[in-house]
Amino acid sequence: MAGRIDRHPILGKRKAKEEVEIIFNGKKIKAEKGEMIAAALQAKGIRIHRYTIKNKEPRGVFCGIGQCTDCAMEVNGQPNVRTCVTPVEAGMVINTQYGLNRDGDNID
Amino acid sequence: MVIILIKMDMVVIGAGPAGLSSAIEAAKEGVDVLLVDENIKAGGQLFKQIHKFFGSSDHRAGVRGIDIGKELINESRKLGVNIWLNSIVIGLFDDKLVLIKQNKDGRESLKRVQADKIIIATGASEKVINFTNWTLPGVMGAGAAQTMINVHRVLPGDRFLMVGTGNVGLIVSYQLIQAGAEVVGLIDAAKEVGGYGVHAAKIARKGVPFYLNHTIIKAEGNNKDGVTGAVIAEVDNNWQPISGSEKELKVDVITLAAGLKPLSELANMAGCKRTYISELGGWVPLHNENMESTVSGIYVVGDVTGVEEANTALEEGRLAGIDAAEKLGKIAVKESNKKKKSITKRVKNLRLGPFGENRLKAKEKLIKEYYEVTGKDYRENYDSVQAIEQKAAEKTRSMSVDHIDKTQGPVAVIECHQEIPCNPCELACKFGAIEIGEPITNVPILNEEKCTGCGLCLPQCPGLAIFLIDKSYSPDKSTVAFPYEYKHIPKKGDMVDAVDRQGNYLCKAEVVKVLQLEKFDKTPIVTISVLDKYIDDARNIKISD
Repeated sequence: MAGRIDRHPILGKRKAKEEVEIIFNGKKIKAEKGEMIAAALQAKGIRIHRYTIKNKEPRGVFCGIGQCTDCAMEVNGQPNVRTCVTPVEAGMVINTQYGLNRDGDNID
Repeated sequence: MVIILIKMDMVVIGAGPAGLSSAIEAAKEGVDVLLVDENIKAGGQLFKQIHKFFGSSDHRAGVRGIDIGKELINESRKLGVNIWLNSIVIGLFDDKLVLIKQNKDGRESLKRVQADKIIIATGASEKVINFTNWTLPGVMGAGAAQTMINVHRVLPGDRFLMVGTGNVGLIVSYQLIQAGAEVVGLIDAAKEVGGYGVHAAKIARKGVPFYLNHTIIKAEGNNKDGVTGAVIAEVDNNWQPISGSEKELKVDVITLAAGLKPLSELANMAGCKRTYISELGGWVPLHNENMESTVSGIYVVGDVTGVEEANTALEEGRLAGIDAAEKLGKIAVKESNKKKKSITKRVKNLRLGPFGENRLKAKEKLIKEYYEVTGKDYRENYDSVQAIEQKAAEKTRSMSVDHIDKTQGPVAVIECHQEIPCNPCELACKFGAIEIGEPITNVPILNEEKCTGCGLCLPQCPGLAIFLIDKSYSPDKSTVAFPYEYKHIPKKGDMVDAVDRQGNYLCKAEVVKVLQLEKFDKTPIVTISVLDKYIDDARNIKISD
């Protein structure tokens, strides 16, 4: 099942970690302290991180290690944050990015 | 703004297996090392490698990558290596000046470090293939999915299609199943599986279909949900899709395992000459036999200089670490040569056999080109290591166990028929019944007279390719024991479905033993009993997860 892996034959049982609250597109969601933003979103089934400037196509996690920048989002007002290598913090405000920022103020 | 200049003997860029091992070897000789990595954790990609590594048992083969990562980090800390994490090298300039953007406690600052020796261990990144809708969320690198499940412990979907059957595609498919996903199939345009047969066998006996001679035509899906399916098709001899052969698979994730390409940009910036070698993944910096690039004092190690396995990366790192320590006057030439010679031999052995020979030739070409470009004399510091003639497998490749007698008692059966660099089974047998010898790519040969049927080799084989057959179990039944690394481990007395090597149902079977010892390192051994007529084929069980 998609989402958090509670039991694993090699990694064992998932240890309960401290939870923090983050705000995704205005809604509060729970995340594990210190986990990557992309992991927290994926655990909630969220996989569209941004829409491209020209064709408004969705993008999500692609490389997972901070190289491709496909998973960029607007975090605490700052656009283009690589969510697969940026840990969550309590109260973090995360928004789907449209083009170069949340409001779609883009250079065409 | 004045940025203070920090002086170090050595700066290592990249804290994966190659970078860590070079830092460790150099630090052992008393070199002051600064290890820099852009990630918030050291270890590179080791922490997503939860499988037991192939390779030589003198070098931690049979140990899971994740544990090797922990050991390396501990060792480097113990040796006093300075590790800067969350720090990106943004430039390499003349006189080995390294410009680093360091992020410490949420504050960014620039650091200038002058080093006598620089080791570039920047690794590689996944290659992509494109097809219609390949940018939809849900299409991702196989490595990305592996990071999500094994590092972040989040499964990014329910049903996966794996594109590519090299070792990455095979291993990640296995790990997706371990994480609770359904892998609906693996496709490859080639007519044969690209990776090790033992890795393929593990997922085949779980019933996962392989679509060889197939390519992906498009991802199905939309801008709201991302991927909802995939269309695959058979290819002709010119790799073109055959119209009418399209098949639609319902998946929500498509993972791409199309190989890796070296991240050699930083080496290029530093002026290291590069060349294009497709067997090594693309543009790679030239280097000599001690991993030194065409820029004196700058070394290149690991995947950045040719995509290989973590075990070769570890050895290349050691080689560079020792050579750099020698050039810094920290270790006597004689002693250094001795160490380098034994590492060179080991690393060469890892490149033997059908899976390694192209890489071996490519690496030799790289070194030859280094001497052409630099105009230096190629003087071999030590005897070149000749490839030792491989021992032909004496065993037939038949999967039958007819040779085992009904009265014989338990005996091991090794279903490992490819020349791959791996030998933990040889050391696992305390009775000397398994022989691989030199080179390490020899196929294991079992001496049945020496085999006591103890089964200790089963959990040691990283390919999970050893079984224990006992035909003397009862007048009409035999038992087969196999490693079983899944979530739901059966209990003694359970009735389960026995399946064959392709995961097809054979018969009902009783679980007669489940052995889970600490030293098996999370690879329990399950023994089932089946009627004699099924013993040639029963190699796994099916229980609903």
